[in-house]
Amino acid sequence: MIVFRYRKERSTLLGIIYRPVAEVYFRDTHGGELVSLMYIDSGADITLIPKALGESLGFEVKEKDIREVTGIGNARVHVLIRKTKIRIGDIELEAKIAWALEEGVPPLLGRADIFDKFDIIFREENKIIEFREKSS
Amino acid sequence: MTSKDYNWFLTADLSKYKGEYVIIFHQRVALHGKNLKKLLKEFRNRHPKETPKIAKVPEGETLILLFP
Repeated sequence: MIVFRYRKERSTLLGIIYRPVAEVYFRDTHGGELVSLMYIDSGADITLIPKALGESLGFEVKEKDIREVTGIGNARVHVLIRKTKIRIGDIELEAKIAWALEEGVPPLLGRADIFDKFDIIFREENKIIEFREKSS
Repeated sequence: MTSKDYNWFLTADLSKYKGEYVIIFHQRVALHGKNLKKLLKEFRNRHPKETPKIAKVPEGETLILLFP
């Protein structure tokens, strides 16, 4: 089991807020690893990373693959969907990633290809999140 | 098991780096800026055998994405 925790932050709307954060390992263009500290977002359909982070993973833009996603207030973000290997704790998996073609988005760990590999429990009162690998 | 740098990040005040990437190493901000490529190059020059731990400090509020 992997246990992640919440980060204490300030929100202009809500004051002090605790946000769940995961430590996610990616393969970079040099064949080594890099770690992205990502918000765990059970409401996100898919993991999202900003432009520069995707470039560090060797992602390349193909115009024909560009898609548009919308957020609150109809904010539009152009993304490319890519598959890449990630590691959470000791668990390696291949996941679809939405690579945003802009910097104004936070790295988010979303559900696609990831949440179905674990039983994930948000223990809000203890400010921890448990990732339990599902037995195959 | 999470890293010491991860644990440090959970309580670190990074408000002065809003909108920037930070690379955390040995429980401190080793590098920060908007150009991640440059930061990673610098980090690898300094610490070729270490794994960079990258955080992006949010500028505004959170974002929820809806796929069509």
